[in-house]
Amino acid sequence: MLFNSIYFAFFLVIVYSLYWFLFNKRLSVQNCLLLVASYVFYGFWDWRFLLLLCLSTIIDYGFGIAIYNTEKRKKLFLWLSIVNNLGILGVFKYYDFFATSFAAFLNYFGFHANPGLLNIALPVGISFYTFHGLSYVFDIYRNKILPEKNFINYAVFVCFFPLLVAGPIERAWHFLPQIKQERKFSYRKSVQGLQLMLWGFFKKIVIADSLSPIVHSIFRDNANQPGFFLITGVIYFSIQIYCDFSGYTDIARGTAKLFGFELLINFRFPYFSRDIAEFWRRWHISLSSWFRDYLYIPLGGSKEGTKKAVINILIVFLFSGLWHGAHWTFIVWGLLHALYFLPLLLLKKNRDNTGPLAPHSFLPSLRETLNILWTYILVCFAWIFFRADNMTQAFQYIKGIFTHPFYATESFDPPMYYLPFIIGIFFFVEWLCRNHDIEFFFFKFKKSYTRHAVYLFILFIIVVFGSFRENTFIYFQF
Amino acid sequence: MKRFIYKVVAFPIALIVFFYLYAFLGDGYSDEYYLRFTSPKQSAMILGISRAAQGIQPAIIDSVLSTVYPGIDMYNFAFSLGLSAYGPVYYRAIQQKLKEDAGKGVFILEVTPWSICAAPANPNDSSAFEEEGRVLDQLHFFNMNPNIDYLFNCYSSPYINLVINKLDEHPFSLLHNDGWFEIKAPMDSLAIANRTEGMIYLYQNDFYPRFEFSSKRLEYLEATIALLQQHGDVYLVRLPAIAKILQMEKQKMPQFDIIINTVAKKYNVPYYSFIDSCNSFSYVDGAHLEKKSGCRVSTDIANLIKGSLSN
Repeated sequence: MLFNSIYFAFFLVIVYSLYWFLFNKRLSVQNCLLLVASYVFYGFWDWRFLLLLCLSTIIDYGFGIAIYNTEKRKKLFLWLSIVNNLGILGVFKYYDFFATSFAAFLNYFGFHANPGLLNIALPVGISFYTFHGLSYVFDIYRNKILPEKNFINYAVFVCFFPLLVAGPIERAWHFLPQIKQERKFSYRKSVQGLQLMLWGFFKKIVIADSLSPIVHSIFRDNANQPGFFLITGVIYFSIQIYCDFSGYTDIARGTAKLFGFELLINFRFPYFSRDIAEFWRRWHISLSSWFRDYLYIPLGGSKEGTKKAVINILIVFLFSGLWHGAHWTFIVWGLLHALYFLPLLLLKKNRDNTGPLAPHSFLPSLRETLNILWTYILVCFAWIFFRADNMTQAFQYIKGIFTHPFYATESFDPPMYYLPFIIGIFFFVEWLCRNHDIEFFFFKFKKSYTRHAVYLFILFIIVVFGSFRENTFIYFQF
Repeated sequence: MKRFIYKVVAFPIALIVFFYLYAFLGDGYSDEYYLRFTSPKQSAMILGISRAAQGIQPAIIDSVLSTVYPGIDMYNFAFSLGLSAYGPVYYRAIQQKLKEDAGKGVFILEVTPWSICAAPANPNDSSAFEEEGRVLDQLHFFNMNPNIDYLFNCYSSPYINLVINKLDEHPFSLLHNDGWFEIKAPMDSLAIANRTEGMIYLYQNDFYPRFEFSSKRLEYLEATIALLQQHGDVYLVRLPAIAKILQMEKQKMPQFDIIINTVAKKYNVPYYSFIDSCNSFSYVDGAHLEKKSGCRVSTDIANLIKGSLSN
């Protein structure tokens, strides 16, 4: 079930009504409702994958208790859990890629290999819910949290429907206490939830989905596009993927707020980053912090010498790329970011830009502007690999930017020529909120009627300029 | 909580009202079909595929036939090969659009080999026809203004295009209120040659190898004639195209004219074919008549109808 579908609207109304009006007396019943709703939500894609989700939930629940109850076999159970989670990911997501790559490697050296491929569909959101499970057992192993005794509570943690298919990747210490706590309706929280949803739908339906066909056609026909279009294509893709993914996150966070939950923040206006380190503190925060906590730091982080730190960074970004998909393009995307990041680490400049952005003035300083621009160019360059179907297309695309004529003489008839204006307004609003959340923008309008007028205006913009083709979210494939 | 619920309900209501009013702005520039589903039921129609949609101009027919059919108000309800080849979907659409108690109507049915051919492995499997699941199949309401059904289920562009296309100084097309789909493409010889080349390629590489005669479609052509005869006079028309395309049609269905003549005799309806005079017309792309030629063909059809009535 997609957030941007009419089914979700009905689903949300039904679940919300039952949750607050019928089952509001008992927390356990509310949690049961959330679990059933989450399974229905997930089952809409493919009910068969529900079995996998249930199995993964049951196993991690069991390992969580087992790790806590034994000191002797603690490590064994942890490893069993890791093998189970990564095994599921490996079979469904990575097996075909590694088998093909290994066969190609053998073929290169003259050995004929014909890999038997599984060719199975990738269950939606598998990378997200396995990472939920992994973080849970890691935290129990490290005595950061106690295992959850109540299976329903744990299952809701793993598969709460707003975050099930594309995150944010929640942590047990943050989310489980909320599940166990009695929830009271909060007017302000509900309003904030709807504000987030409104903004998320605007990003997804108006911007991301409108850019999608343009980006698709430019990448598909990149061999015949002039350089200017190729540059436009990658800029548009950078905006598309941001609006698509952060739009999803906003809707997820907003929906969660309607039910009384707070999810982790996943984006903090990443294209205003002043360096790559800051970009990774602003982009897909729940994933980058996951890798930091469960991979980088356990590997030793930067505390065991420069050489080890460099290797650790390479490993983290390599896995970050691989997490997105079993393709060389994602691996190169990850490694490119590692290359961008390493100079900052080596020069100890990776924490230079942790403070607010232009806190005392409306515009950034010249230095900040140049830094933002340079970071954005680096990010865009890496996006080419991320978006390309394969490495050949990525290199062809980059080559085309520099070798094709810059502009075609035949008339450029950009479809949806109003889009740059909408994108401009969008980034203006984001800039206003650069050191806050999007609610800051809405509550800037002090009078309630002006605020309502703004809501209506955005709704009208969504209806009139939106693309209602029920396009799926990009991050569902990961 | 009550306050919250009231507000939450108020916004969708405001939105629905806004959208309903906004939809009235849709017109012939919105897209190539919308207007056809906002008009009321019709008692005189031009039916067929895109050749008829672009080539037969209702206003011309009306002007010639008004003396023999007083108050005639022709409506072009032809679409395209992918949507309105004769079959169950188009038949249902015609039924929905047909004004049944309006006295004697006039119905011009354009026929080509393609409109009684189908592409599936079994060309008589109507559940696999191209039009299944597309606009005419999806639509429940054919005569509603504004047509929310169409806008929700079939309109694939952002709704801003309902109004923004009319701002285009050189629009590619315009759907008139009488259903005529006017192509406003550049008509210099180079542009025509390019489009014709593309159209021939399409016929050669897509239509010709894929499509086969479908007796199911022929059945539906007959059913359509039988249906419309209950409400007025029916005329069968074959429109011209460039010789190369007609040659392909001849190769695909050498018996086409015999089949149609047999149907015409069976139902006692006239059949007018313009393929012998194909060289005297000009085309937008080889398959579709250019505006002035369309005007001429429309006049000729009307005069033939008028002549048949006076005989």
